[in-house]
Amino acid sequence: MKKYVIPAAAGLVALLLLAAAFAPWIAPYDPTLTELASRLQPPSAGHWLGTDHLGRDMLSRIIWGARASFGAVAMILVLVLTFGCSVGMVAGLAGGVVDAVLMRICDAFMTVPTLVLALFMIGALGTGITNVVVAIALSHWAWYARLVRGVTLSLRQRDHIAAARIAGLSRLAIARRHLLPALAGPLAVLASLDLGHWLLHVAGLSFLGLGLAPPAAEWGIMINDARPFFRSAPLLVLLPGAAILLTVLGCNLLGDALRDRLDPGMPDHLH
Amino acid sequence: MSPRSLSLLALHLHDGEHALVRDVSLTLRRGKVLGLVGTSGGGKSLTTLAILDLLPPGVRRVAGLVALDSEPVEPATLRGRMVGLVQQAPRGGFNPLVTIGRHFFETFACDGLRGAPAREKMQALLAEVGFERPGEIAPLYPSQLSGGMLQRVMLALALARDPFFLLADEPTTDLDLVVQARLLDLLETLVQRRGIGLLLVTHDLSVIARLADTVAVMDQGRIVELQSARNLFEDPAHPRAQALVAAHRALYA
Amino acid sequence: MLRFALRRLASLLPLLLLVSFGFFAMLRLGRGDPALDYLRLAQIPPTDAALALARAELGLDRAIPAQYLAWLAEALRGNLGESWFTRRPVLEEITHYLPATLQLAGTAMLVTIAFGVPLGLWAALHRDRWPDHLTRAIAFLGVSLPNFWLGFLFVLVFAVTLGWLPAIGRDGFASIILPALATATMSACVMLRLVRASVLGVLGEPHLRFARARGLPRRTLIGRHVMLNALLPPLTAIGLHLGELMGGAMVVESVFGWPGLGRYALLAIANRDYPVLQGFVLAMTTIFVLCNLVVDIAYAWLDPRIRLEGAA
Repeated sequence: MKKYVIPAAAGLVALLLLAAAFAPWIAPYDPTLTELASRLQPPSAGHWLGTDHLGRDMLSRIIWGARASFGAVAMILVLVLTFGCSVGMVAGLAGGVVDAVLMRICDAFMTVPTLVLALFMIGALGTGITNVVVAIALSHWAWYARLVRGVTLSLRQRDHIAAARIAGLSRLAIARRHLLPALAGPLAVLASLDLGHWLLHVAGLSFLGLGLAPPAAEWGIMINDARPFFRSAPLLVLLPGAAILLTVLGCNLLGDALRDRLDPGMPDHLH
Repeated sequence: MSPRSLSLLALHLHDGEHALVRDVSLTLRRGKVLGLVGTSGGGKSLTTLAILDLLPPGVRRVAGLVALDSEPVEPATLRGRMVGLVQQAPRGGFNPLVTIGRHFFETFACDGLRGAPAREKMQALLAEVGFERPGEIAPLYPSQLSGGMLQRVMLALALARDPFFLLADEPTTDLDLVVQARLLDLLETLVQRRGIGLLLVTHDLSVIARLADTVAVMDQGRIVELQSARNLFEDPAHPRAQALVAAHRALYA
Repeated sequence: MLRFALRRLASLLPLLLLVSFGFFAMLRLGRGDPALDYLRLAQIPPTDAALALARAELGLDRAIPAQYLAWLAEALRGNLGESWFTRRPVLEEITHYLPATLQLAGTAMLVTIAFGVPLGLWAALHRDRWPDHLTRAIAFLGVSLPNFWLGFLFVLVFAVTLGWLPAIGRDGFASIILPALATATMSACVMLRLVRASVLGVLGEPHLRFARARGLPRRTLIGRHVMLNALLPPLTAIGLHLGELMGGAMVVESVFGWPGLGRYALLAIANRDYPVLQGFVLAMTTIFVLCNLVVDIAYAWLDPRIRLEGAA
C-alpha cells in the first residue's frame, strides 16, 4: 500500500507546487477576467472546469489559488521558523531569567486556542492576507520555540559543544555550526505535519472574508463567492474544496512519511 | 476431574526467521517441583508462556501439544482454573489503575464467586501468602505496595481459582534475599499443602537446590539435560549443565 | 485532591492575567489609532477636538499598563465595557451568543468521542488488518478536509438532495447534527489515531498478560484492563481538542447560519471594535483554560499514581 501512496502523494504535491510556481504561464485564462456572457458554464473544451458566476475560468482560478495558498503557507513557515528558532535558541543558550521569561510568554501563547488567537490577531492587525499570515504564524510559533529550546538544552550538555565553548567559539558560531544541523530533523517533522493545518487555516480565514479580498483567486474566497449559487451550481463550491482537500492530503501523507523516516518515535499523526 | 499431570509435548516455537524453541517436552506432576534452568534468552520464558498460549506477538507455535493426564487440551482453556502463572517483575503484572481488591474480585467472578464469599476467600488467600492484616491490602493500589508484597499478592491471585498447577517464571528475581527466602518457603508450603505441581523457571541454581525435585536444563531453545536435582549437582552430564553447576559452586562453596 | 485542584488553579491565574495583558497591549499597539476607530463606529466626524475628547474618554492618553489596570479593575467587577458599535455591554452580548457556540463545540466534542474511541479501539484490535487500514485512510482524509467545505457537502447531500435535515438555523436537535459533524470530523479523526496508538501501547503491557493468564473473559480484559488505561492519554488531549473545536465552530457557524459567537466576533474584527475583541478572546481563553483544568483534575483523579502522590 505504502509503496504506491507515498509516490502518489509526492507527485501530487510536486504537481501543485509546479502549478503554483508557473501559474501565470500555465493558467489558460486570466483568473480575474470576467465574461458575463459565458457565466456559470459547465465543463467544456474551452473551459475544462467550467466558469463561475462572473464567467471567470475555474481552472485558471484554481491554479492561481494554489499560488496563493502555497505562497501564504511558505510565508507562515518562514515566520514561524525564524521566530520560533530565535526565541528557542536564546532561551536555551541564555538560560536563567531570560529563559524563564521567554517560556512564560510561550505558555501564554499556548493558552489560547490557535484559531481563536488568529482571529483576535486579525482583529488587532486588520484584515488582509499579510495579517492572516502573521496571525497564523503568531498563534503557532510557541510550539517551535519550545522544541528548539528543548533540543538546545539537551545539546548544551554534550561534550563537543562544551569543547567548542572552551575553544572560544562564540555563541553565534556554536549555534550555527552545531545547533542548526541538530534542529533540522525535528523541525522538518513538526513543520511538515503542520503545513496541512496552516493550509486549512488560511482557507478557513479567507472563507470568512478576512484574508485576500475578491476578486483575487484563492480557494477559500472562491467557496465564499460561490455560496449564493451553491444549489444551482455546486461545482463552484466543490472544485475549490477538492483542491484544498487534495493539497492538504498530499502534505499530510508526505509529512507522515517524513516522520516515519526521520523520527519513528514521534507521536502518531498530527500532534 | 482432578488431573495428575500436565505435559508439554514436542514444542517448537518460531519467530518467522529463527527457531526459538526446538522439540521441548516437559511433564509436571502434582505435588512435585520441576525446575527449568538455563541462561536468559534460552527459551525458558517462551516455553512457560506457550503452556497457556500467551506467546508475545510474532512468536508462533509451529508444533507442540499440551496435555492433561495424556489427554490433549486447548492451552487457552487452562488459564487460571487449571494452571496459575506467576511472572517476574511483579509490578508490571498489575493494572496500576485498579485496586488489589478488584484484581481479586474480577478473577473470582470468572467462576461466579461474588460478594461476601469472594471477600472471605480473598482474605484467606492473602493470609495464606503471609499478609497478617489482609483486609488492609484490598483497597490499596499496586503503586502503594513494595515489590516483595506485590510478588506475594501475585501468587495469591494465581491461586485464586484453585489451580492444580503453577508456573512460576523467575519469581524471585529483583527481590532482596530475605524476601526471596520467604517466597521460596511459601512455594514449598503450597506444593505440600495444596498438592500443586510447580514449574519453577529460574537462572539461579540455589533456588533449584532449595526446591526442585527434577531439573531440566535448557540451552539455545533445547532441553539438554533432564534428571533429578540431586544427580544434577553431583554429576552434570551436558557441558552447559556442568558450567551452570560450576558457576553455582564458585559462588556458594 | 482538593489541594491539587487549588494548586493548579493558582498556577493558572497569573497565566490568565499575563494573557489578558498581552491581548490588551496587542490591541493598543496594533495598527492605527483606537480613537479613530471609536469615532468611526460612533459615526462622529474625526475632528481634532473629537479625537482629543475620545482619547480622554477612553483613557488612551495614559500609559498602557495604567490603562490595563483600569480595564482589569472593571473586568473583575464583571464589566467588560461597551461595544463601540452596538453600544451595549460586551459581557451581556457575549453571554447572549456564547451558549450557541458552546452547544455546537460541546456536541462536536461528544461526536469526537463517540466516533474516535470505538473506531480507534477497533483499529488497534485489528492492527495491520483491514479495519486498521480502513480507519487509517478515513483518518487521513478526515484531517485533510476543510470543515466549512465539508459543511457545504453535508448540506448538499443531507439537506438539498435527501431533504433529511435542515440546512441552516438553530432549531431543535435535527439542526445541530450537520454543523456538529462538520465541526467534529477533524478532531474525531485525530482522536481515532490517538486512541489506536494508546490501545496498542496498553496491549503490549505485561499487566494484560497476567490478566489473561488468570483466565479473565474478553469483556473484562478489554473493558477494564485495556480501555481504562488506554483512555487516559487521549483524555488529556480532549482539552486541546476543545480549543480546536471552538475555533472550528466559529468557521462552521458561518456555513449553517448558526447564531453563535462567530458572527459576532467577525463583525467585531471587521469593525475593529476593541472592547468586543478583548472580551471575545478573553471569554474563549477562559473557557479553554477552565476545561483543561477540569481535564487535568479528572486525569489526576482517575490515575491513582497521581492522586495518591497529591495526598501524600
